[in-house]
Amino acid sequence: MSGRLDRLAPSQETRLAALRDEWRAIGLAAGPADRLRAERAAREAYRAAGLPPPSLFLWVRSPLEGVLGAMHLAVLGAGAAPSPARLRLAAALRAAYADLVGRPGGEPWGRAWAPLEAAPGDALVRFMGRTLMDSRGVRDQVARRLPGTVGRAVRSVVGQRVAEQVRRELQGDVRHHVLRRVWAPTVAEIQSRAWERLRDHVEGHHAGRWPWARAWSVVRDLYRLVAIQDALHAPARDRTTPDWLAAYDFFGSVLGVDAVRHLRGSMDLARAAGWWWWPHRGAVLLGERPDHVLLDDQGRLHGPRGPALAYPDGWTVWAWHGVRVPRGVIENPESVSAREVLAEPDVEVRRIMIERVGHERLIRDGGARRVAEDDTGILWRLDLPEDEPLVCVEVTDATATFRRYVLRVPPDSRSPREAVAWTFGVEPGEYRPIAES
Amino acid sequence: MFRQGDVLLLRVDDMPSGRPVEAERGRLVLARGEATGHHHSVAVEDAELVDAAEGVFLRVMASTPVVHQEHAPITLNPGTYRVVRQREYLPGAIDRMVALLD
Repeated sequence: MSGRLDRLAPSQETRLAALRDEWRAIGLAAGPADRLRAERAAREAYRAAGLPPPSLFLWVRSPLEGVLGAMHLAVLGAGAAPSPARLRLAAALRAAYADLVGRPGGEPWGRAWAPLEAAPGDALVRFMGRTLMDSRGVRDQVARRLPGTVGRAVRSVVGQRVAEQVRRELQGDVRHHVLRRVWAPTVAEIQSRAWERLRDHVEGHHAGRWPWARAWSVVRDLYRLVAIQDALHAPARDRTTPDWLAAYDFFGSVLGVDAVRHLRGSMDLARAAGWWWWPHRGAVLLGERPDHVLLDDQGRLHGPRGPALAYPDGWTVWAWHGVRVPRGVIENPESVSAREVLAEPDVEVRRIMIERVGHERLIRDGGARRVAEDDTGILWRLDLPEDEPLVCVEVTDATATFRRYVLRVPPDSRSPREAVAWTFGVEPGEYRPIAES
Repeated sequence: MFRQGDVLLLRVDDMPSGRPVEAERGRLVLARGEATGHHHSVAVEDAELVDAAEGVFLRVMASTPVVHQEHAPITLNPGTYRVVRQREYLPGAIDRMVALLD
């Protein structure tokens, strides 16, 4: 007996399950943040880490606004008065953002962008620009070192077995449902679609001036300098995400580990606002929660009729059972052409497009080959790059109306009869209806 | 073997045991279209329908027509039939199986 707890009592296991549900709900919550409470919690988190509390709270209405807004501030605010090249880059960032949230110019930008509308030499912009470049020490302290200290206190009280159980049943579950299912695709959306759009605008703003590739390399540097990478990939290193906080919450509130109180600020911030926040020296960037998050029964992002994820600034993510797809595929599949489907390089996305567009139209418009024909119907084949071919049987209905319909069948089907027999689960030789209608 | 649109009726020897399906307004519904609500059905007084582990089975006591809103009726002779609903191929089935096994 080492004196460390090595088995949970049944009542403690019950609490473990309750905290799992609670932290899952915190991580997936939607709706406006309680800003006053969140700002108070952020001050407490800084104090607990031995840092002076932040004097400026910068709220962003989506992770996208956080990323592009931070880069924008850094471009305008860092160093001396910005050069024409930096002004052009700032314009590209604003244009990309407006484009991605579907808001043409003239609409209010909100607080995050307010300093940006001021003159580039403005004191607030300069302060933000500088402070955004100076996040690493603060982030390490608040999100890594302090929780690390608490973790050591936990280990002195809690045995390996119990720690494993908490990691598996509580932390692992919350991590899966919040970070893997929702946060990871959100980040991927920024790094693919949003990034492409930004690239287009950077290119556009530099046409005929200096090589856009150089401007693009500045964007990459900014990305590194303002530590967006860190913020977006926080789950990899930070310990203030809901999965870690859930575990600390259990060690503190159920097992009575006193040191956990140092994380009260981070926990309260997660409850009051999103848990996506970004500590800097003297300023903290806080993220609003989405207006809605739609999930399927496996907890994957899934918006069958509209965006699966919608943020208050208008930024949205469309997804079908966890796969991010372009808007039209969800909201207007009839507008998606067969050519677009066939040109889609991502196999997963293409499969969803095929399902949404419909086999019949794809066979008709996609240049399918007529493989065989017999008295049961016609067999069509459309080859797809890096995927199994789309093989369909066009079934003839022997009714007076003579309707036809198209069904997808296994790619190795050789004749319409074999294909139709497969659809009914019988052998081709056995498929002989004596009456049909 | 009879086919009416997306439903195939196969003669079998025995009726397996299973949960009897209740009639709706005097009709036993063999299969229903998801979008249209159209259905393939027979009159309850001529038949019984069972939902078994092996599938859905229909026993016909007296010759009876299978009726559907968009198809001509098909007359079934007395006997036992397995009701097969037409299926479609889902791509990636192999990938999913491999993923499950990994």
